[in-house]
Amino acid sequence: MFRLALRNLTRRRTRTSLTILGVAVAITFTIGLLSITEGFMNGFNMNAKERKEDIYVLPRGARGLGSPMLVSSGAEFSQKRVQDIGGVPNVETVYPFYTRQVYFGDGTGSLTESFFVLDGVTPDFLPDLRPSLEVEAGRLLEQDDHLGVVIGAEIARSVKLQVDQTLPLKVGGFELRILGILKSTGGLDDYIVYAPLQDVQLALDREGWVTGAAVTVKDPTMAEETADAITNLSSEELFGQTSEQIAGVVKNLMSMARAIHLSVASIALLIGVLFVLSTMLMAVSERTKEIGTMRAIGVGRITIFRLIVTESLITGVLAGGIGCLGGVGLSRLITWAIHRFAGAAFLQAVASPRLLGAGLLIAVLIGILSGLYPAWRITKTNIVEALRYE
Amino acid sequence: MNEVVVEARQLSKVYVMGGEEVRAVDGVDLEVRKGDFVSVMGPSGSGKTTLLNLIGCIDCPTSGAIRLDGQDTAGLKEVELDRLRMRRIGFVFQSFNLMPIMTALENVMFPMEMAGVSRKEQVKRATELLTWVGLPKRLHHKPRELSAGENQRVGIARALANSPSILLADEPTGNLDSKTTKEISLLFQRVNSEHGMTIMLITHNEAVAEVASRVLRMRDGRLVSDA
Repeated sequence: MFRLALRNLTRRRTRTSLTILGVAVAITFTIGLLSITEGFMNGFNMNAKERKEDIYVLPRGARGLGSPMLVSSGAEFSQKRVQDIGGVPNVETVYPFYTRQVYFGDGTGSLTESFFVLDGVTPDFLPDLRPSLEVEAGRLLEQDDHLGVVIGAEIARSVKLQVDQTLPLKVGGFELRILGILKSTGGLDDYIVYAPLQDVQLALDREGWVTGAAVTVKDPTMAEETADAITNLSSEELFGQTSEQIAGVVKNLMSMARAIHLSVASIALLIGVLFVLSTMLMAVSERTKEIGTMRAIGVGRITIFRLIVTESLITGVLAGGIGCLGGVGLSRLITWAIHRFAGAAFLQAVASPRLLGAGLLIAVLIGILSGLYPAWRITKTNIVEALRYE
Repeated sequence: MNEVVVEARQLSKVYVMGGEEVRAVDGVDLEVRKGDFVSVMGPSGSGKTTLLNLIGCIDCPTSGAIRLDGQDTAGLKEVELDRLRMRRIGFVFQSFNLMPIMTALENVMFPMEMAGVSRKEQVKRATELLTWVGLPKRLHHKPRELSAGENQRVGIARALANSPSILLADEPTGNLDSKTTKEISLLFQRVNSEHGMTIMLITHNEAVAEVASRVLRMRDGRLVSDA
């Protein structure tokens, strides 16, 4: 049965190849699109697990911002507020930070030419709030460090940097020396440059200003009330948001993106189904007389039905396989494009095994579904009429 | 007296075309015995093919009964009819109806494969049959690489594959030139005499009909002579 189905598909190689290609493109497109949200969610989830802060305090202008340590809206609030925040009941410690996206350019147009995140933090920030981060080489920031940085593993790898080298990046005319390189986490921390807060403020000429503050609380069950109390300190200037609330914002954004991607992908897949369906209808119609002959010599309807569905299933599986390979390629291309044109090296499209499995499953379903109607139709045809078919 | 392979009683097939009844086969009574070589003649539209289709169980009678090897086909389910056609009936078609993607050998093996015969046995029997019909060197040729006469030989070998009780041939020489027609007619005669195969063959060609042991003539759906 399988051999016969395979041989039937090779009768019109160009048509079969084009059909497989058409569905493969639909699968590639679907995997490519969904790999964007998959990658972003993976990165975010991995990052969220490692974070110990309970509340982020952000400038008023940054409302709705997803990831305060990664994206800066440009808004700031006075560092004097940090003390006020520290005085709010239930607040344990306040870690002010200044975040700015910085551009690494070697002028070659390579992948290393990207935006990374420069986070100005206090020395206790990494040990307290990122306890899982370990250094691969060198050390973490210390109290009296000046113009020294700790960089993420991916920055070190892509820009080929080592401890004691100078960062190929001048911030406000200052040169920053690499004190330590973090072990790879596979998450967004791999793309962050941690520097002493006062150095970043000085270099950017923003002394006395911060883009946010991470806050730990004594009683996490009261985090939301504490965040509200922080907001009430000066609701014109800043607002407090719990980590869960921020995660919710990111998840909502990702869900919306996924829904949009799924809608577009569904259209592509519908076209895939119609494509295979039309090919199978044509292929089966051309073979009406042949199928009539098979029926005349005693081949049952179910066998014919299975033969046709097997043919479309093979088409689906082959298209799925090629589509998965294409999907991996497309997700890499998207990652490259994000790095190259959006300059966001910490964002990646990920064609995970789960996504590839879903792609293959969809292709198999396309194959089966598109074979059902032609198979049903041809098996309903009267044998005498089928034999007369020209 | 040989056993009866086909027995038709008051067999009728009525079509409704344009609101009018057309009696394609009209009350035919017929007996074909084992080893008979029957040719069916008659003008176009006389009901020859319809009669053959009814006997071959690829069409259902409007009324009347058919018994094949003593088995009444009327009450059989579709899968039982499929099995009956596979095991007891061999079809030979005017335009050969071979599978274009298969070689001659595979075409002959195909009915056996569908009947669940082992692959080794399929190859053995298909090779024997193709050798017997005169195509020992054409086993691995596809239909498009064979002449019309050779294709019909493959068609006959395929019809014999599952050792049926009867061979039903609908104008098997209709697409052949006169020389090949004669060769194929003689081949049918050999199938009948050497295999003892019961054959029912439709033809317009008197020369083809002459090789048969019995000639039925039809007109307007009725048997008008049996000689």
